[in-house]
Amino acid sequence: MLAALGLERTYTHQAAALDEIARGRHVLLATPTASGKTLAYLLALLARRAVDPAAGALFVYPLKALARDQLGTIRRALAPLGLEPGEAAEIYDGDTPEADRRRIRRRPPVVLITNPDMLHLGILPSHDAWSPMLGRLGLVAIDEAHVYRGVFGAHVHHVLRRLLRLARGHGGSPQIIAGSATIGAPRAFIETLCGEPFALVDDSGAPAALRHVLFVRPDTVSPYTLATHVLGTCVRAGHRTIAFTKARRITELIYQWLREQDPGLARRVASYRSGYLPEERRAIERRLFAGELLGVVSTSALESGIDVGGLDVAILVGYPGSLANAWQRIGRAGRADRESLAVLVAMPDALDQYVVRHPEHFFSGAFEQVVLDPGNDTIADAHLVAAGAEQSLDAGDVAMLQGPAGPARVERLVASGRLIETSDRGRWFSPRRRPQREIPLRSTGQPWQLRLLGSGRQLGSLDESRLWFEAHPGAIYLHAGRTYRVVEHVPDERVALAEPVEVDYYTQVYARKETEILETLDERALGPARLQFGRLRVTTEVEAYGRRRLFGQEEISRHPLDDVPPQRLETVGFWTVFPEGTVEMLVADEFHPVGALHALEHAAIGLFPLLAICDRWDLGGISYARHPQQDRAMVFVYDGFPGGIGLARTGFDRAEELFARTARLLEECDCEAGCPSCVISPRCGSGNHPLDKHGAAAMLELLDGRREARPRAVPDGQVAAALAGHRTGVHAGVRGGEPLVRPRPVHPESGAGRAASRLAPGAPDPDPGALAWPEGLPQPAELLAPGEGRWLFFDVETRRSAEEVGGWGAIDRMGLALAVTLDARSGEFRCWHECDVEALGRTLAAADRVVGFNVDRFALTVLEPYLGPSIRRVATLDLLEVIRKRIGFRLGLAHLGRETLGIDKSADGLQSLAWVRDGRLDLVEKYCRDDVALTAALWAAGRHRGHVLFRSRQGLRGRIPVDW
Amino acid sequence: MPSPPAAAPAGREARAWATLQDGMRRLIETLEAHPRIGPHLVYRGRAEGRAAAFAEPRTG
Repeated sequence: MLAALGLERTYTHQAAALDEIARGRHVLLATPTASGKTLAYLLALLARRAVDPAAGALFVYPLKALARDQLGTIRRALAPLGLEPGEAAEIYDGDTPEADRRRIRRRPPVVLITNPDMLHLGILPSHDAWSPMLGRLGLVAIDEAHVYRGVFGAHVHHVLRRLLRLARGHGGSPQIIAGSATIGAPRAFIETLCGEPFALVDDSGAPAALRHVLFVRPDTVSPYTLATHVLGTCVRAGHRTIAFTKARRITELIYQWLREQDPGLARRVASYRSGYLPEERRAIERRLFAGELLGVVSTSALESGIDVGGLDVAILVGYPGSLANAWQRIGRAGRADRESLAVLVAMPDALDQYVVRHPEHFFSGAFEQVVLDPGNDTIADAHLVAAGAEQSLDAGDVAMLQGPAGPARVERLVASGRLIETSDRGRWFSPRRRPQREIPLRSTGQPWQLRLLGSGRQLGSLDESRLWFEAHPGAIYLHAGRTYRVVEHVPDERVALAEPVEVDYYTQVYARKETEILETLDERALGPARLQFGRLRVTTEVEAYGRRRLFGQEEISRHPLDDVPPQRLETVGFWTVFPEGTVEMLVADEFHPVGALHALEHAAIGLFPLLAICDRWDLGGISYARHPQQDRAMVFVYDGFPGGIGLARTGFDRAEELFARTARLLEECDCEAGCPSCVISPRCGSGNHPLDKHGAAAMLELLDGRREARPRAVPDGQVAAALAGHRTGVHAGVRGGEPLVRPRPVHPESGAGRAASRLAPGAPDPDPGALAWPEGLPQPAELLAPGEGRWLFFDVETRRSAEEVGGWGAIDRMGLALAVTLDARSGEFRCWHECDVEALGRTLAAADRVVGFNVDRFALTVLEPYLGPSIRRVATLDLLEVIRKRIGFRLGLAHLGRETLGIDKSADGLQSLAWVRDGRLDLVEKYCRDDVALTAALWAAGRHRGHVLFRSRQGLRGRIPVDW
Repeated sequence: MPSPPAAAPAGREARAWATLQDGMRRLIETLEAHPRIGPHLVYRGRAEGRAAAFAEPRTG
């Protein structure tokens, strides 16, 4: 096998992965950067092809750029097998031209390279077209799996479950090989991500050279200035150096400062970021590899991907948020077996400061967990519907896709009309053809688009729950390292328009926040306190935003935000309920109780990334000196996305560790009264006021037993005075053409509606209308309860077509040809001509319910010019609307009658108009009666059976539950 | 996709590498002595390297 790829030997971890694949298991390789994971994927593919020579593979990369980096490598590796490049590997993603897509679908390569988005939106919804690939799918390689965390991770979990179901359905039997950076609890993570048992290989056999590590903690100088000095010193000494920044703007700034400091270096240093064209990036990589460039300043864009050669120094300008990321970046230097240097320049924030004060943590191997929650209802529901659109689901599919939560989820989705049960029961499908289009993989709800003012070019999207916090009018929004100012919202289009700007400030909202505990799901002791986990509703009222200087963070100006709707977030969180007497203890010891709670909340959230990888918007917090539901001091930390993303659960499980580290941070920070390195948060919605760092430390001493609560330490009045004045929980008809004339009744025939035939069960009706009542179906009179009063079924026919009056926007000009009512209790039909219209209006108004098909939008609109707007007061039941609301689109009466009752309409609207023109109102009346009878039968079937039937575009017959 | 190095560096290459390692130590000393950087250095440590571990040759 090795010989096939032109190799002589493998590292131990590559061989171990291969062994697991040979045993038929899925395997995760959690090994450092540059340890040869791609080779392991290819060896695993060869192992599968040894058993099944036709087996192919799907390589999934999180980013398009990463896939492009790997294409050449994979093609070259497979060349010894005699495969032409296009036979060996192809990329199928959003950038693949349409002509190539068809070719790739028809003749899939051995390795198809794609990303989760394309799987979700392109491949799975068209799985039949992909049958040649799915049917022989032997391996799925998931690279950079640690990227799939939080909301994105939960979505990708479901995309992978959908993929496995369909691949198996087409005859494939894929094994999964995944690769990740070194992370905490890797097996639990990958098993959650994929929903399958995995073998873990995390003992790397790849060589690693000695790495020197320096920590720099600037106190009197800007960290960026210092980083520029470090970079300049390294480059001038002739060492190939990469400096990683957290933002594109900083990348450009350091690059510019370095050139100003030492113009001689201008040609030996470059900046590198994601916004560059691929060819520009390749040129930088080539120059770096060749040694032509000595320094590069980069965003995270260069932290993974192609080997840029043996760099000597990696400078981390700010701790990148996790050990996994830090070591991944450090791993970019010293990739050959030679010594290298890593320099971490700490920022003034809690996490950076903790890390540089605790080098033992940096080297401990205590990598953070990567968490996701596939059980998030919003996300799981959406993907079950998507799966149901791809192929109807049976109970086995539901269990495979959703586990034990599946049946209840199906029940809920059927009740809401998002899934439809087949008429023969036991299978479910989506009434919508492409529900996938409504599921953005990086958010939990319908996202807003951020678009460029003027051109309308899409810059990105953001979750609605974040809109007013990150992208309110006036907000400075960072996207792909570039800065924009949001100018305005276009709510109807869910668009926020923004313009590019160069500013030296950032924005931060001021808001009032309240939280309500909806349900406590778990609870345990935490020292003398109680720790609880559960569902929360967080209501935030955004009131203003402030502009703060980028360097120094002082506020420049504050601007009100008016008419912002209250933001409600239902999520999960964990909260600490402090013992009675906590506030009294704080007051007695002259701490600020609200400030203490607030500071504790900030510091704990600041250090949360030590437990699990997350960024600043993933978590929220709120603190109370007295929470109204429990009348105790409480600190809440919650997931910042509807339904939760798994972080709060991790916090609940590891709270002791989090609070112990928070206590150390507060003890070690040598500031007087709180600073950005300990309790000041850059995103606090109350402007970091009040904060009491020492009070927070006292509360942590209470948790670990070094202090005691003192219920009667001070008089009540003193406590009340201490709490007064501080809000808690603050953080964070005009138409063209002729004027409308009320039509005058003109029909010569007798008024007041003429009685005609009655419903005749099971028998053809002799005299004009009505259709044969379906056998076995109870009559409407039998189905109405005594107290429901008088119900009428109703329909109208018009004199003119939509085309004749200028379109469907002018229904009120169509004119009444005639109307038919059917009394549900007596079974009596009545026909109403134009001259009877006022009597018809009175009859409809007197009914307890008027049942029709499109009665609201059509029939009443036809009558309105005759009877005025009061006709809208009729109590209607519009069957069309009920069904539209349930399944999301309209179905015709003919379709529903045929599928539900086996009855076709006797004619159609165009035929009726032709009869009107020919003066054959007798035929129009019969047709209208038939439609009314059909409406009545459809209503009766729905009421009697609890559902009506329809047929999907895929030919599946499904039940639409109705409750009318 | 890195391949395991075929052999330890030898001859001219080995001398070049040794020079580089010396250079790395000198660089650290330079940073420590730098008037703007040195006062802010709060920690110097190292992560030990390790040799490559190859799987036993196997057939199949």
